[in-house]
Amino acid sequence: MLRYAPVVAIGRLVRWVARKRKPGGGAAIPGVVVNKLAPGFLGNTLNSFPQGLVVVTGTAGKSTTTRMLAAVVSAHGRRVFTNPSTANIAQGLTSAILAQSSFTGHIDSDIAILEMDEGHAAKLSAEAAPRVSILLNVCVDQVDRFFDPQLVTAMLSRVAQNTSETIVYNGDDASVVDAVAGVAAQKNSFVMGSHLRAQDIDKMGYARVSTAATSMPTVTLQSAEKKLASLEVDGHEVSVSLPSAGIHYGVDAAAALAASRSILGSDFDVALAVSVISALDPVFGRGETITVRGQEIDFVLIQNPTSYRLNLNSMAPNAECVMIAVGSDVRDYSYLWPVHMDHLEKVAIAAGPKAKEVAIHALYGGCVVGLVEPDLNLALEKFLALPTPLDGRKTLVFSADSMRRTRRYFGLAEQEAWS
Amino acid sequence: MMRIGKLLPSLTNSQGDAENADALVKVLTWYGVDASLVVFEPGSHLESCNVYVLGHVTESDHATAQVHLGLWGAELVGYVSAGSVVLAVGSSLSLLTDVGLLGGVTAVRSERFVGDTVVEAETGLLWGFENSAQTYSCASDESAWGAVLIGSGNGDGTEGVRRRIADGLVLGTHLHGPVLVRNEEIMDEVIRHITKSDKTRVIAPEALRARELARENRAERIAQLRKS
Repeated sequence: MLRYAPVVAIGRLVRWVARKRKPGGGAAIPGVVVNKLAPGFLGNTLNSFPQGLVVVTGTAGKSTTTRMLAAVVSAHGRRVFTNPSTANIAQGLTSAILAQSSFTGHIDSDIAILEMDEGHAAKLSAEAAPRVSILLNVCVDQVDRFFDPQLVTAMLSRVAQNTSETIVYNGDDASVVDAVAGVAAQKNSFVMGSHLRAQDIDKMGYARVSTAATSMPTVTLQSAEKKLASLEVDGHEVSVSLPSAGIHYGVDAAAALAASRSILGSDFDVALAVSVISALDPVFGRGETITVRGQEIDFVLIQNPTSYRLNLNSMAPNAECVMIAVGSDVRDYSYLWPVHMDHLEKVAIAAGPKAKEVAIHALYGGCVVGLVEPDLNLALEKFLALPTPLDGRKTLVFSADSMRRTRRYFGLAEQEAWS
Repeated sequence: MMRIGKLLPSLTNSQGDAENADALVKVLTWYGVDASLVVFEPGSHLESCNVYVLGHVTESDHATAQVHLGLWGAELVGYVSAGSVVLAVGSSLSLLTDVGLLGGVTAVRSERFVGDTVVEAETGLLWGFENSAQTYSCASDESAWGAVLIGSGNGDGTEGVRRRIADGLVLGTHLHGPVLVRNEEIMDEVIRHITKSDKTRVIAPEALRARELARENRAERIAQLRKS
């Protein structure tokens, strides 16, 4: 690894300069530079963990599942390297490595548990074979980027084919089931119980729902009422307290439990895993409450129609002070139209480059729309200047790009990696 | 009471196309016309509606959608002949040719086009976003919406198709998502057809605001596209 010392030094220098120029920002730039100078660096580092690489991929739930899984494996005494949700593509992963590694690029951890964007996972898995891969779902998402659920299925299939030991897959999602069909690695699955499935499978947003029952699933989610989930792990019934209310968090917990059992083998302690997951905070960016200039603001990240829908539905309908900011990372706003805005009574500010599209969508949804302000920084100032609502909290809903810009504007640190 | 039908939304709502039906209901309500949404999923019995909206179908669902739409084919042709409107988006143009509601020819494009499209129509410039792997050539009794200035459209320099069948109207487009919301001229054409009135009675202030925002948004997007 000594051969990477010069490039690590350059990457760190770039990181220092980027942070000096943009406090709290510029996190991806060192990754871009290093991947360009040393294309083998990322794959090499990912191959260097003694207990291998674990990849979590799919459309929705990557961040929550990765957080749960990393916490469980870490509680079992493994030193885990993991990445934040904002760094799940190649340049972000390299940046996360640079933030944690020694001067030679070595990371002193036993195992890497990383969430990866589907496209990057497919490509990277050829350079660094995952020991275990977790395939969550194929939802309709960012269609202008991936074109068709079939293409995403093909990406997951490549990850599955490159997996050396075990694939942990969602038995309810027909695209995922197709992606793992005929693959040589061992397969463990997680599913929703038949009662829950009949009632709520449509809420999951899968592009295709599997019609055949999965035989011998490793973990079954039996119920998820508010924040309490009941699961069956290898025939043992357990109750887990979820980080937030919602069936999708229950499915994430099922995926994390099935994955930890696959990774840890006979060392897996189900009681320990349950207590660790039950103690987790909501994932960064979602349901996070931040204090800005003395005001409490809920930060809510939307990454696709599914998370947009789930997040809007979990907000109080009469929330008085909601700002929605969508940036140019959403190339075409069309694909957010299946999300019905009628749950909310009012959008106080529509902001960001897609402000007008947000406002139009909200008006058609029957919401009252206050200001429309495409300049995000101006919108943020106007948002802070709004009177504090009765329940004390304002809510800021944003796309990933608007979230990064907001954090930067408020001088909040961008998360890099934690281990 | 106006009835706006959504055809097979569980197979066709990946890009917000089916929401044109919800938008129509909203606009009619804003205009003071009673309207309701009717959803037709596989296996439902097709009923008479003033407008039917059929969104883009992904490749994996195409065969299923073809079967179900095929079962409704004769009834749908009947309702359209009697005065209903059909709006079809993206790959569903080929579903309409299968049941005889369109007479042109669809073909698979050598390379998928993904991006903004600007069309010069008689009423002015139209704008939308395309994610399409299909071309369309209008039949002799069909006309295109206009000429493509930016983007791809039908693949022959035109975009969209308009066909009159007896008292009915079939509209097809490659522009995804809320195409009627983004282009008030097409929305008005549909509403004129079903209300048989040239007067659009705008009552609600939010209707005016939504129209104005959409008009501004379209003009800004077209200006950006022309610059780049």
